[in-house]
Amino acid sequence: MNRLLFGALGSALVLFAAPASAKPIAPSALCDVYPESPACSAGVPGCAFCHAGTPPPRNDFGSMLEAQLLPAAPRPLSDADFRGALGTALQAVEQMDADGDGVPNLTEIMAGTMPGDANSFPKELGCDEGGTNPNYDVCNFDPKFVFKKVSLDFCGRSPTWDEMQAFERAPDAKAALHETLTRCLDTEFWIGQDGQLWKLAHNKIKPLQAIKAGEDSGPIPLGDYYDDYGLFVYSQMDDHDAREVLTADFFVSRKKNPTRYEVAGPSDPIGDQGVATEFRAGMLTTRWNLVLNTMFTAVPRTAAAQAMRSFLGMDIARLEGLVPVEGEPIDWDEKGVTAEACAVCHSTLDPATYPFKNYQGLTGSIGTYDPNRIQDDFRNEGANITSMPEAGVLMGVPVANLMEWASVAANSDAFAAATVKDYWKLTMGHAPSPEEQAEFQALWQAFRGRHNYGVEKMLHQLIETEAYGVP
Amino acid sequence: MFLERLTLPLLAVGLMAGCTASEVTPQPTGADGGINQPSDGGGVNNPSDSGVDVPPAFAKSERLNLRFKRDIRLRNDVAQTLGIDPADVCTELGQYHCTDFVHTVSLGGVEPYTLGLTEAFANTTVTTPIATERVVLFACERRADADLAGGAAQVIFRDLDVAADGKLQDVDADAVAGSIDTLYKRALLRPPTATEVDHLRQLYRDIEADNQPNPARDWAILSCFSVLSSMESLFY
Repeated sequence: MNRLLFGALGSALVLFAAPASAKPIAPSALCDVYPESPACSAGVPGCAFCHAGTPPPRNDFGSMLEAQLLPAAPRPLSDADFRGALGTALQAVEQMDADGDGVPNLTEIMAGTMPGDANSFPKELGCDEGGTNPNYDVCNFDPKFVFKKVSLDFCGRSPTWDEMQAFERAPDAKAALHETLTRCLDTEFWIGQDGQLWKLAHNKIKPLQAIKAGEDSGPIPLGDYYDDYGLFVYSQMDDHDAREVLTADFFVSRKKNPTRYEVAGPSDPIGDQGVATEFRAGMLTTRWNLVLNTMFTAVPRTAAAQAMRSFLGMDIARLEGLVPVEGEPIDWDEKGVTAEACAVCHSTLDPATYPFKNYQGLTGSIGTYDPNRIQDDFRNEGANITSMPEAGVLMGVPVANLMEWASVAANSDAFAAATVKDYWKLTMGHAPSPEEQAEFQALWQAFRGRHNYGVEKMLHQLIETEAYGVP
Repeated sequence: MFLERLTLPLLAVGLMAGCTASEVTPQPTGADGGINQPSDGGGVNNPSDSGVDVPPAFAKSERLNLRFKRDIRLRNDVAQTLGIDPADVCTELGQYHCTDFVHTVSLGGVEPYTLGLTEAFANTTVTTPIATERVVLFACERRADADLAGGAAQVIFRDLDVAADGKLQDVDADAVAGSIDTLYKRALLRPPTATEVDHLRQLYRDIEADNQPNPARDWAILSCFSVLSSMESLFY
C-alpha cells in the first residue's frame, strides 16, 4: 500500500516540479519544420532534444538555436513569436555541429540522433572484411544465427543439436524460421503466466499482490489484475487486433494446462468488473487500473499519464508528448497547476485527463462509471469542479469521452510505434538505434498497415530484419 | 570442503573457458584487436610482440549485440543440455528454486508482484556471475553423478572407464572424447575443436595431479561447468 501512495505522490511531485521558462509548444513546432525526422514520426520529441535535463537549461544545440531566435527581441518570447521564428533559426544552424561530434545538426535531426549530445550521432554499419568467421555470417542475414535466436526469444530455449541439424538440412531456411516462430508463439514461455507477453504487460499493469483480489489474492483485495493480463495477452496473440488493449468492451478468461485465452462469457470467472459495457475502454477501465491509478482523485491525472506512458510511449513526467491545449490548464481542483512551472505539462495532461473523470477509483462504487462522480464525491475539491467537462483533448484531437480517447490513441502512429517498440526492445535488447530507425519505422508502419495490428504477423516481419538477423 | 578443493581447477578452467569462447565468438581484428585465436591451445597471443605467426582473426560483428540469456532461458538451456527436469536444475536448501525464486533478479529476471520490479535490469549485476555459476555447478554435479552411476540413463559422460580409486583408466580413451563431443554438441550446438578436446583432457590430468579422491567425478563436473559457463553458452 505504501508503494501505491509513494508512487502517486512521486508522480505528482514530478509534475509540479516542472520549471519555469520552458516552451511546451517547442516539440510540436520543431516537428512542423522537420516532419520527416524520426523524432517526429510517431509523436513529438522530448524536451531533451534542446534542453539539458529538465528545462530551462539548454544543451549545446538548444543554446546554439536560442542565439538565432529573434536575438534582438526581449525574453521570454511569446509562443507566437517563438513558433514564427523557429524555422528561420533552425535553418541558420542546420549546417553547424552544436555538439562537436563531427556530424552537422541537420544530419542528426534527420537521422534521429541528438544534435546536442556528442555521444549520439549516426553510425554507418559496415562489414568487417578483415577476417573470416566460420560460425557467424557477420555481413549478412544469417539463418542459423536467427534460428537459434528465434528459439531462445520466443520458445525460451536453444534448439537441440538434432533440431539444428534438421534446420541445416531444410530446403527453405526462411520457411523453417517462420515455422519455428509460429510454433513458439503458442508456447507457455510466450503466452503463459509470467511468460514473455506477461512481462511486456508488467509496466502497464503495475501489479501489487498485497491488494490483489481473486486468485492469489492479497490481504487487502481491491482488484484482480489477472483480468488485465488476460486482456493484454489476448490482444497480442493469434493476430487479434492489438488495439483492443484500449478499445475492448469485453474481458478475457484464461484457461490453464495448456494456457489459452478466450473472450469471457457470462459464466466465466473474471474479476469484479463494474464498468458497464458501453463505457468500457479496454485496459483503461478495468477495476485494477481504476483502483491503482485513479484512487481518490477528482482529476485522475495519474490514470491519464499512465495510459499515455503505457500505450503511447509518452512519459509526460519526462516532458514527452507535450501538445499543449490553448487555455489549459484550468485547474478545476485548485491544485495550482496554472503556475507557469506546472502549466508546461498540465496544459497537455489535464485536458487528456478529463475523460477519466467519471470513473470511480477507490471512491463511491469502486471501479464503475458514474456520471455524478464529481458532484457526489468531490464537490468540495474546488469552487468550479462540478463544471469540469468530460470532453478533453488527446494529442491535439478533441475527444468527447474515454471511449473516444481510447479510439484516438489506438489509431495513432504513437500507439503503433510504441507497441512495436515494446517487441523491438524485447527481442533486440535495446530501443531502436539511429541506424535501425529505417527498419523500425517500416515495421510499425506495416503493423498498422498490412498487418492490421496483428502482433504475430509483425513479429514474422521482425525476424527478417537486418537488425535481428545480422550477427 | 568441496568448494575449496575446486578453487584451483576452477581458475584454470575459467581461463580455458575464455579461450573456448574466443574461438567461436566474433573477435576484434587486426594488430590492435587484442585477442586472436590461439593456434597452440594456449592463452592469448598478441601479434605485435609475440613474434609468431597467427592465423587470420575472426571477422567482427558491427552490431555488437550480445544478450545474456537471463533466468528462464538459462534454466531451460541448462536443463535441456543436461537432460534434467527444469524444476530440478538448481535449488537452494533443497527446496527453493535458484532461477525461479532465489536468484531471479540477479539472473536478470523481474519480480513485479511484491517488489514492484516490473522491468529487468538492462545490464547484468555484480552478483549475476555468482548466481549463474551456482546454477550451472549445481546442475553439472547432478548430471555427473547420474552419469557416473552408470545405467541406461547416461546423457553426457557415457561409458567412462573409472577405476575403484575414482580415477579414469585412460584419459585418451575414445569414451572421453565422445563425452566431450556430446557435451559441446548439446551445449553449444557444435562439435568441439581438437584444441578444446585437448584442454579438457589436460584438465583431467591437472585434477588427478591434485591427489584428491574421485578425480573422474570432479573432472566431469568441471568439464560441464567450463562449457556451460562459457560466454558462448551464456550469451546469444
